[in-house]
Amino acid sequence: MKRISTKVMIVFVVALGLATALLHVSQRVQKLGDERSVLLSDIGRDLYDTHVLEAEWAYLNSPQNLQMLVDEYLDLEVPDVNSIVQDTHESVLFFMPQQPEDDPLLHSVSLTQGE
Amino acid sequence: MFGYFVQRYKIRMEGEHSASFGLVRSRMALLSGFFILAYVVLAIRAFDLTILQGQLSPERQASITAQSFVTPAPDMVFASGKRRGDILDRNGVLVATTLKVQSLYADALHISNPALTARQLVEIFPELSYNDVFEKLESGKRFVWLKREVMPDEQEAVLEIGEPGLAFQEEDRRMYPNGGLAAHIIGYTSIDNHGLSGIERSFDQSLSKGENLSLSLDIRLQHALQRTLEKSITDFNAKAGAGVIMDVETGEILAGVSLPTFNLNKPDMQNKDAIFNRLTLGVYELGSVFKIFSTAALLDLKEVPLATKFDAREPLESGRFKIRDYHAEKRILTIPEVFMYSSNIGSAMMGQALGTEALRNFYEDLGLLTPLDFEVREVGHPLVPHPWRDLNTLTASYGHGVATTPVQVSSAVASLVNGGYLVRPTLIKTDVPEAERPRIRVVSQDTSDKMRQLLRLVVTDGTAKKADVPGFFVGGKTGTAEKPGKNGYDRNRLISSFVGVFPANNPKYLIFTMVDEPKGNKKTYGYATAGWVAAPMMAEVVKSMASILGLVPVKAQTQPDPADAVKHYITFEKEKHG
Repeated sequence: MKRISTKVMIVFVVALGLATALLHVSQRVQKLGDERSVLLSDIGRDLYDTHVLEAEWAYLNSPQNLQMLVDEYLDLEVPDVNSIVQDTHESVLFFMPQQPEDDPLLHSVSLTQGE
Repeated sequence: MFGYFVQRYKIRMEGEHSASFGLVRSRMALLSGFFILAYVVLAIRAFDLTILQGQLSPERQASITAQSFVTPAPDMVFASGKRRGDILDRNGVLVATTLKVQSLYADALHISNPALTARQLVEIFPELSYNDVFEKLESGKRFVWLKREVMPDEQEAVLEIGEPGLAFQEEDRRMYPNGGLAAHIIGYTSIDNHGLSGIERSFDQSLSKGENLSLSLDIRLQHALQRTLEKSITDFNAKAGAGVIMDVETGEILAGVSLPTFNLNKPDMQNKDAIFNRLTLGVYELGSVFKIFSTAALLDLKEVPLATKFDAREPLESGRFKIRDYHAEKRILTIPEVFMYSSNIGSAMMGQALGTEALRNFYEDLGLLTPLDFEVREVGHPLVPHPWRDLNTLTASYGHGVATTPVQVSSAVASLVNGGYLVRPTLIKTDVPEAERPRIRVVSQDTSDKMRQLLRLVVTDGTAKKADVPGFFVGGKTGTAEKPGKNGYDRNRLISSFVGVFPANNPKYLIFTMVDEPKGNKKTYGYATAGWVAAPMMAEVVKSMASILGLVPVKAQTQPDPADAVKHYITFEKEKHG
């Protein structure tokens, strides 16, 4: 009897320990799951808020809106093209004529000559 | 002997009894242990549920709140990709997007006072009819829409009524931050967010899946072009207008305007004139702009020199028809002169020299005679003579008798000036490097070079002097066409157009402008021809583009003017305008 009681006690203690550990783990998982839900929700909300701000930004900066504000509050005109100067740091000049390159993908198809 | 056995059996029985009893005891103890353990576990769990979790942590509370929305939270919509995709311009600017809005509905069974509620609702939403709302509130239906897409302040006012039968449902609403800019290209959706026109319609499937779309449009250039066209329409009291800015290499449409336009956020379906897409659906006879094509055809197919001459001293007769010049020189003209003075007689002779089949095939190869293969489904069918007789060849050489869309004309001109490669117009931003693009040659490099020079000549010395912007080598061709009426062509109803390219020595951009039924004004001495109406718009748009894109003008004399190469074919007898 004495021997059996010891075994029971050992099993009892081990089971209790396991149950406690399991409870702790489940609590931890639940807490992390909750935190994840909250984070996802916050991220989604922030994303949507950002999206709304982008839409508002697009509206406020729409050329028509800016033109209306300029017409109402400022006296601006399209700048004289001669005021535009070349940025000397740019390596490529826009208006430099370019020679056509030999292009291996070029399909030289005469559509009209019908030869 | 018997006693011995009884005694022995008794002893054995007692021993066995004693052993069994112990076994039962131990099992009982084990079972009890398990029960005790189970109760302990239950007790701990009860403690956890009532004490530990009885006081919810802020995270837990927020989590439960986040998970208990009746309608999906925005993050769910974002995550699932159910929100309709955005449409962006080439620089990533939003041109169409989807936002959440609230819509008002009624559970008519729970409306306590329909008459009072209807009156209060009509005060908030004056556009609603009292009788209509009252009828809905009295219908007894569990769900009936009262007002879709209400504003936040209107929602607040409805909540203040305190009627339990009124409720809101969150819905997606398509929004267009730029209002009427590029309205005919972008298109619009139904209230249920299904594309009904333009890009919204053509790409409905991918947009519905939440995929974003980048257009070739530059919304800044779109505005610049629209502003210029609107001013011209106002100045010349015109009926309508259209314009295109195109990249001549890629065929990307950087701006496409059809006026009058409409606000995409509130499309008025009754205003057919504003809804009508003049860029791709409207087909127009554009007159002398077509001389670009007949001249290019002659130079490319017949390989004639620019010095080839055409007798424009007398009108050209064909049957009972006489072809006359608007800017009559009444002399023998070289090809550059025919082009520069926009001689109908000379161009008709070019068509004659080419022959019907060659000219028609050339037009067809440039995509002028068949419906446009395009991302927007609203495309018009070009009007082509049927049957195509020799007389039609003469008139088609200077743009009469053939009607096509502005986008097709723009693409065809781009094909002739970009080195001679067929341009397929597109509204989608393309990132394919030039070397990887399959290219089909339609005219030789030599013909393309000559066309650049001729187009430049028209601006320096011809009918389009008002299109010039010093330092940008603008080239182009004017086109003034009389609109067909009940009794033939009407001289008082014109379509004035201009198609220009710049820089003419190596064109990068093409600009097309067209004004429908302009009326001459004091500034133009009563003229409403393309040289007075459409060509100046080219100059305005080039100036705007220069400031927007930072295009630097070439300083005088630093590069040869392309027109100089063909000026020796010109006999400058007198100056002409418009």
